[in-house]
Amino acid sequence: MNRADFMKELTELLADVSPTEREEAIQYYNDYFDDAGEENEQSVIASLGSPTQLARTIKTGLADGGNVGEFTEKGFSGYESKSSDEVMDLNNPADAGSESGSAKGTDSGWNSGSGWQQSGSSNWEQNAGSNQQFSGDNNYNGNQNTGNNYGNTSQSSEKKRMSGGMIALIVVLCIFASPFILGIGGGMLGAVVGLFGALFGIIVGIGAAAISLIIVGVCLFVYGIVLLFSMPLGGLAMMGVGMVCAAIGLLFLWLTVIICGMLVPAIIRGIVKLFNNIFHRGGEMA
Amino acid sequence: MVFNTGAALLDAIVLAVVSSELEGTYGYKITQEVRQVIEISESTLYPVLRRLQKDECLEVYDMECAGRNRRYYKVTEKGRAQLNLYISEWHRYSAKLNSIFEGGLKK
Repeated sequence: MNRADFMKELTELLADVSPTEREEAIQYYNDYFDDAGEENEQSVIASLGSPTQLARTIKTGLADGGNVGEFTEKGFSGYESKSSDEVMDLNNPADAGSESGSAKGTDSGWNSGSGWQQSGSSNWEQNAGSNQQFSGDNNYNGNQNTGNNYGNTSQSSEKKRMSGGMIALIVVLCIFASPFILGIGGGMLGAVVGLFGALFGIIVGIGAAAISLIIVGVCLFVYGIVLLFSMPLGGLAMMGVGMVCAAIGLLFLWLTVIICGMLVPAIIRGIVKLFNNIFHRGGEMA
Repeated sequence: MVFNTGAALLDAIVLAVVSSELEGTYGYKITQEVRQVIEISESTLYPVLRRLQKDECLEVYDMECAGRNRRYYKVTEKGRAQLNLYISEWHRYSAKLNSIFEGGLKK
């Protein structure tokens, strides 16, 4: 068989693959023959195997989503993936994503594909036919499971990269938003302090009013007593007004005491509860 | 060779061989260079190259050479990243094996 026959047969055998893939393969092997040189034509043909085998290799490569290679000892893949897992678990869990990704990638090759001819070693060469057969079966079993592992590998590593990026993005966002967050927090704190101040002011106001009313009431009462001598009726009226004033003042004082004793602790409790809620919710969110 | 070469390792070898040529290299040359290191048949590399190309680890371009178009392969950024991953993974793996081979029996 010469090169032309070989390529003709290969082209025919690749009739059922897509034109693009057929042309790709044909060009590759034409290139290959060209680069090997005419003098190596026969050795290249011998090394490539029969066109049937080559066509099968090419098709398997395509069907596999590109995963080719028959790896006769599957135990090895187990060891390797295990060792990878151990590395991942023991050393740095942070690396787990990439580790498992690569482990997956490693796995995929071993199980899938066909046409991995060990041409260099005569043992394998002799077994090539049966190997091929074996790989064929294995392939159809294995394909469903491991078919596009390669794709998965890149996907998982992409996912990992993305989550890393997301974390970085969130951190950056937090940094950029920190003035905003601090502003909101500060504003809320200010509002609470303001409310507290207002309350305090009201209490102080009521208290001051109470005290001044009592003082005014006492003064009016005293003035009424003095006035009693010159103007008995006016003095009595003044004394009455003073007593009323003092009574209102005492009422205010009582109110102040009530506010300070009951309302303020209640409000403080409320504020504390509010803050607790805010911080609690914040903790859950982060 | 006693040990077989897995798909990932073969990918790594191919990527390393291709990346050693800045201007890119072609199928026959890649095959010969890979065959200097591991025993594979000449038919094995095409599917590997095609897959790496589909995975965007390799890019191809045609360049005229001796009156015909020859297809060249070149490592992409993604391919380079993948190769670095393989290399670091290989160091890890081989170091583990070495520690078992050289020190494992002493325990």
